[in-house]
Amino acid sequence: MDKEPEDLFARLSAEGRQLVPVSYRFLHASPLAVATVMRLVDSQPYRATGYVCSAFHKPISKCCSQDDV
Amino acid sequence: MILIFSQSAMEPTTEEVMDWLEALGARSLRLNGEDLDGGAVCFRVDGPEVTLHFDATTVAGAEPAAKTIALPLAEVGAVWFRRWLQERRHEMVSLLDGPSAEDHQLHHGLRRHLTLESRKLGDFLFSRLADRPWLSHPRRASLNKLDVLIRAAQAGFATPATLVTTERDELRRFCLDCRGTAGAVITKPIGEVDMFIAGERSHFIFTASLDLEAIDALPERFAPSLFQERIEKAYELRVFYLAGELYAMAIFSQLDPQTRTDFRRYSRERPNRMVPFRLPAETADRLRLLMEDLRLETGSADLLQARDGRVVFLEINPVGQFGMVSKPCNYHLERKLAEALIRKELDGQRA
Repeated sequence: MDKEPEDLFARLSAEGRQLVPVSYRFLHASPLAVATVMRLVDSQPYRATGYVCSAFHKPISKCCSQDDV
Repeated sequence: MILIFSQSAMEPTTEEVMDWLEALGARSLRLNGEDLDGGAVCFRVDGPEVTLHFDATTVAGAEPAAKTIALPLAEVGAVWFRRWLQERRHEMVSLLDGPSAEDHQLHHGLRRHLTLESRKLGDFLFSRLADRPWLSHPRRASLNKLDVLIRAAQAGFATPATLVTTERDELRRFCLDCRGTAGAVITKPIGEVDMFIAGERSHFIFTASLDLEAIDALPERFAPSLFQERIEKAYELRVFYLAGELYAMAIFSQLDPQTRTDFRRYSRERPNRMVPFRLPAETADRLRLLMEDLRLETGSADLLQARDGRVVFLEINPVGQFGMVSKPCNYHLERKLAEALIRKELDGQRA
């Protein structure tokens, strides 16, 4: 079976390619870093519960940094 | 009680502001958009009174025996709209099974209705708190990039030549017109940037640069797309605005080819230098004028110091991450924001 191309634009149908803006042709692809995934896994209990009061201690700060966006 | 609207993931700023609220003696409660999207929270409407009920196990500091925690909205003294729901559960899964699974029209109809239901619930909450002091109301958190560009020009800023088109030939002419600057154009979303995750790869819509060769490779027609002249920059400026005060940072992104067009293509090995920056009085005045025009009390403005001497306005993100300005510049914005919220609550009590 053929492997799907890594370029997301290449995976769009002919109709799909006509419907997306030009910026979709220049998407920046990067592998999801293992460290990022692990931080997200670590934060799962907090993200699942969601709301926290003022006594809550640092749930996600250590889990996601700006360079993961 | 200060009620914070936020989101669960990728939002470290909210926790840091909550830490400061606690340290400064204020009470706060955080509600993530996801909590309304199938979380353990319910609304009770009793005549004119509305109460939020939370599952007590999700609220730190709750009495061990308590099953639910009630928050009458009347007790909310101020509201911080940080962020809200990004992806709804029904948008992430296939809703149809069996032979119907390929019925895209039906799938779209179901998702559209569920999205509207979800929006109405959030809107109800915002509407019931309309008379409280807000730090940026959600109605004003969704800006239109093109509208803001026009308002910035009216405020006296230089703005990039801009084109929205569906035609390659028109884009080619625009690019040739821009030859006086960098001989190329950039494209970016008309709305928000986004990231798509496919398998083990993420695909991010960064600002991309196109020269004539890239333009000639495009089809004759494409979906409406935003293009701007590419401006040769000396450095970028990210300015956080909080209730009249400006906190600016210069980002030296132009020397690294990876970050030259979009500094968010972070270089981990050789990060861009980011330093505190004193804005010229004229730029500061224009920015304050623009923020007042947009009726925003917080927001992150992106500007360029062009090589030709102009300070060029690019855009404003009303809910941008300000930790990236606060930390390198030692501005302690998290504390300043907590103090602003406490002032809001006190102002509300006096009113």
